Amino acid sequence: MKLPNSLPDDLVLLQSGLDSIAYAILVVELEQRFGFDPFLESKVPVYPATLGEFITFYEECHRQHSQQRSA
Amino acid sequence: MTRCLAELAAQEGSILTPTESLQVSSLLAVRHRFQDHFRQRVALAGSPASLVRWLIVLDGVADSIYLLPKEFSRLDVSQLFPEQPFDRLLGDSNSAAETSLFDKDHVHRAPKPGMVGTLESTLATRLFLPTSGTTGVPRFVAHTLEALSLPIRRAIGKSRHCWGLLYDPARFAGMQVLLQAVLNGEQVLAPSSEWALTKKVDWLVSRDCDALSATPSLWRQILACPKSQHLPLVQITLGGEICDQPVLTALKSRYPLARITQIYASTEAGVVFSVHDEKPGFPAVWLETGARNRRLRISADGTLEVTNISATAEETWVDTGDVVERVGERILFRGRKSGLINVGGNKVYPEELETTLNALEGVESVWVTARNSSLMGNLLEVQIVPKASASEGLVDRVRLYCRQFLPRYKQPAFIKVVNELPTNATGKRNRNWKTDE
Repeated sequence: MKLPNSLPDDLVLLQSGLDSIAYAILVVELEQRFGFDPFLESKVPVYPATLGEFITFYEECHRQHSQQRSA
Repeated sequence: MTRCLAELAAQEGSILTPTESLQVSSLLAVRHRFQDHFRQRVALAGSPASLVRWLIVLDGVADSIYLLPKEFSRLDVSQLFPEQPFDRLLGDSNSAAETSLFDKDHVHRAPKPGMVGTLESTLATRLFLPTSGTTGVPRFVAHTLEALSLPIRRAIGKSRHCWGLLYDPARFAGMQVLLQAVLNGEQVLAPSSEWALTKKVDWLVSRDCDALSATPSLWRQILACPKSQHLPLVQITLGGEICDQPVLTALKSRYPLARITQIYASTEAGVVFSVHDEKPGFPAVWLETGARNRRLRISADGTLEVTNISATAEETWVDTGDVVERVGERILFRGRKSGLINVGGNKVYPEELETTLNALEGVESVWVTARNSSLMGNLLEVQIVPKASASEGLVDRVRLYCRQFLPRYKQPAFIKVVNELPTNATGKRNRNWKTDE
């Protein structure tokens, strides 16, 4: 599995070199790192298509997560 | 009296692939030509168009038909069938004689008087579909096309759908899509199985696919395809895996005009029921009212039992083997009692994987468990106790072996080297433990 040379925002995740299982593993590793899984927790029902959307998805969930914690 | 697929099929049915367009009506017109030559046992391997072509002309004529899914083409056929249960292998590449039989415009010699030339009594052709066995070797289960067609609702007078086919047509779920189209006179859109998902979705968009059946894991990937928002879907079907609320919510949000159907089927009981209320599991009230002329109950073990539909009045209970849990007004599915792990719709027997890995050099003992995944349902986690002095590079060697010899979904996602395998207070290991955290 080879990753692309650059990682721009419009990189389509399904064409990034990660297959569906590798992508799922990444999400588990990110959950271990950050303590949340936006695919479970997010109020917005989306499945990001590009790397930019994926990052925004995590940023937004992190924001919600921190707000809940400080509330 | 047995009815074969040709008698059940609707003339208007069609299969469209990137390279050909197949009309059911043209197959019905030439079916009689196969009567004399194919009263034998055959195996079918090939594209969806090939399968439909041969099933329509051979059901009712052939003694038995074995369906071979794409992944079997890698295995040696003699490995699969040491006792050769079929006489002939048919598929994409036909002989010149076979091709002319299918050609509507090819003129054939009229049968000699006295020769069997018209359709006589229909044989109850046995159709053998593969199912995952408990060992690596697949098991074939006999069906008839008539029985497989029973759960399919006849959409008489309803609008004609274009069904995208993303399943292997030689497996139960894929066969259901093909039959749906053939019986109801609808169209099946079958993209090339070699294409990446994004290309398949692009092609389905270009062909106005408005009905699609897939596992929840595949639906999550479809939703992540940039062009998928352009699919004019009016029918969304999910099955083959436990479905959660997030994917249902996302589908409803993306395709507000679509009807969302979750199909619950098991190898033991067939298609049991479908759920249309866009929530996971099924309504708890069905334990009292039943569903789709079956009664439901929860066994002492916490598994779902259903009544078997039989020709006689006698009702028997079948254990589906699926563990369920009541949560409020819903009954939710929790997994298999056997500990079978479903990775994105693909079934993995942990014992089978453990046996394989235990045989590797440097491995003392192995324990395979499931880790929850919001994208694939489950991912495989393996804990390995190494033989003394063998732990150096063991994880890499195991990973390399798995990549080389196992299908993707059986390759462990997480591999840990441990000093001992986990046990409970009485020294036992529970198959239904999941890795937490």
